[in-house]
Amino acid sequence: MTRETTRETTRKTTRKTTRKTTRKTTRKTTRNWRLARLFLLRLLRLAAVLFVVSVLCFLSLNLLPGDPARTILGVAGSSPEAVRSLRHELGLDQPLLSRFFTWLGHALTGDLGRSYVSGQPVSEIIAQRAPVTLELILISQLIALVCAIPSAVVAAAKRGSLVDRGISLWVFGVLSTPSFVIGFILIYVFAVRLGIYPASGYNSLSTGLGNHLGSLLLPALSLAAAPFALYQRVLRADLVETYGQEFMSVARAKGISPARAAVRHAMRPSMLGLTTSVGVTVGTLIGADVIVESLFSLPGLGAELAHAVSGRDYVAVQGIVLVITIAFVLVNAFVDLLYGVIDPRLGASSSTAGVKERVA
Amino acid sequence: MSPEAGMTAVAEPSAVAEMGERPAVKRARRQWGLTDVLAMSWLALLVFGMLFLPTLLNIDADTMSPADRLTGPSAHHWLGTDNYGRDLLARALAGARISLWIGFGSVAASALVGVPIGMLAGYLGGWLDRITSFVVDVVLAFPGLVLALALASFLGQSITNVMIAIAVPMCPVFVRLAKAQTLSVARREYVEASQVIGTPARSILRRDVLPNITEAMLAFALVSVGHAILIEGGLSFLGMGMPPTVTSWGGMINYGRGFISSNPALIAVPSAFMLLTILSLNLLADRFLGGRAGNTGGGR
Repeated sequence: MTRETTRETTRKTTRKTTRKTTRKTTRKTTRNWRLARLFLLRLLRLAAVLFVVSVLCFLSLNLLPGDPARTILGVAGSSPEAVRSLRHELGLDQPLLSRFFTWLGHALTGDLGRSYVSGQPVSEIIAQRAPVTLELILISQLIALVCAIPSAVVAAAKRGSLVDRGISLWVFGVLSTPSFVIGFILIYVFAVRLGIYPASGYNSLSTGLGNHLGSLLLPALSLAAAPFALYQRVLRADLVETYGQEFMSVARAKGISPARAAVRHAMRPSMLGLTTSVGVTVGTLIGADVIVESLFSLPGLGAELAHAVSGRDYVAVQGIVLVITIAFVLVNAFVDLLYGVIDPRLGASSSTAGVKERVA
Repeated sequence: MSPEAGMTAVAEPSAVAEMGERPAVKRARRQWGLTDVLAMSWLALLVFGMLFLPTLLNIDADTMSPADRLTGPSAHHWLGTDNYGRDLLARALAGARISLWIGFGSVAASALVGVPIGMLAGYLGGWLDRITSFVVDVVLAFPGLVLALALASFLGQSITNVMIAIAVPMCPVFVRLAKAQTLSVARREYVEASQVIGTPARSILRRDVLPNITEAMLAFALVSVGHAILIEGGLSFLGMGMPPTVTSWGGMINYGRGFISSNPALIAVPSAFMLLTILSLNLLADRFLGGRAGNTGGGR
């Protein structure tokens, strides 16, 4: 009870301080109006972030020391004509601003330039590689959630017990293990020692569903480890807090079984932290994905990025980073929208930022 | 049923009992548990080994001896040798120097930039806050390792550039955290009292706010050091971290890939060093955080 009221008052004060200028108007307008306005503001902010992200991606080529065209071609291909034609193709002979708008126009129509290693259009490379990555990320998220939710529920229900402490220690260890180390352990155990699994390689869907999913299993497991640990910790902490609230005692006093109380009463109020971490984790997952894909030699976007980076294929790096980042921003925006669905109490208030900070 | 606030210590029975009635407000100081001692000992051992062991054992990270290639553990080579006959222990210790330098260096850099900005943004609010939070949003829009990878590739390979590549994605998280902490401190009565008697903002921030957010920032910094070591390992593993002449854990692991079936020690030794170091840092950070909810090892 007291906790609820203090939370209310703090929320009010934040609102007061952050929206000092518009206080008078918000009082008069209805709640719906405020929601619409907030939604619009968020949309504008999203557009602004995306715009700046694309500007930065565009400018990244200018970070290269010296003449980008010469750097891209390297020592071997730097005949004056080749440099000149590449400068023309990259538009380096034009002023920066007009170059940017040409680039942005092309990017918006799906033309991200051409790779200088393979000569393939970058957007084509991305379209070919993205499905593998998407599938891998989805499978690993699924594995992580399927393992994390039950273990968090058990740990929270029996908090302080040997089971809880055992799970916590295990989770802590997993959290401190780099994904490629987990990958190596899996390869060593399943491919080298037991010999039941090929160390690397990828079977496309045309070789059969079992083969296909089989080739994704070990990579997905090594990707799932870190998010599993994070989700377990966040959900357990939130569940423990929920268990401390009065309605849980009431539920138990009414005679509801512990299992039913955990699932029906405790889960939903405790989902907020988990939802945020799912959104935030997608970013980490993309990073880990680069490593895991190159470790298991999967033909995904991450391996392609690593390949492009080590091959100094800057145009491809630029395009892939842009696409990955936009996808990540959109996922997070979507997660932001989900808050309202999961916890109507939050509504349009600005307190989601606080949740985010806690998780990040 | 007494409420506990979030994560208690990992494998620490005393903590549960010590958590009082209102743990969110006042956290009891925890005793040093077994895990804390183990974590401290590992870090102390690592630093000691890094400084003295190579001279004591007369081993060197770069000396090749074709006579004893790929040997197992022996009296002279405690952890064996690689395929050039280089001592694995000496190489792992040389890697520790790089990893710790990168880890602490990049975190110090991003904290020194991020914390003051976050404190100012949180305390002053207004336009400064709006601008910084937009910049933070933009930098955090890039997935961390992808940004680090892109930066490393565009800047070129060197120790300083790797530090920059790790510090840039990390800095906005410090800004956010410092801002959130400052906001919560700035509403306390003693700060308001200070404002009333006309203390300038600069000294309020230094004397009232900073000491109260230090503990949380330190805990986060420790986690970040582990995280920076992990990112450095990832970059080196992809061949985009250190120049090939510099021995680093990630580089050693990457090199050992070809020997996974014939001689897994080449991967296992640097992996174990990296794992134990990150684990120790996380455990210590968790100690600092005490009863606070699952903050450690955050996703970035």
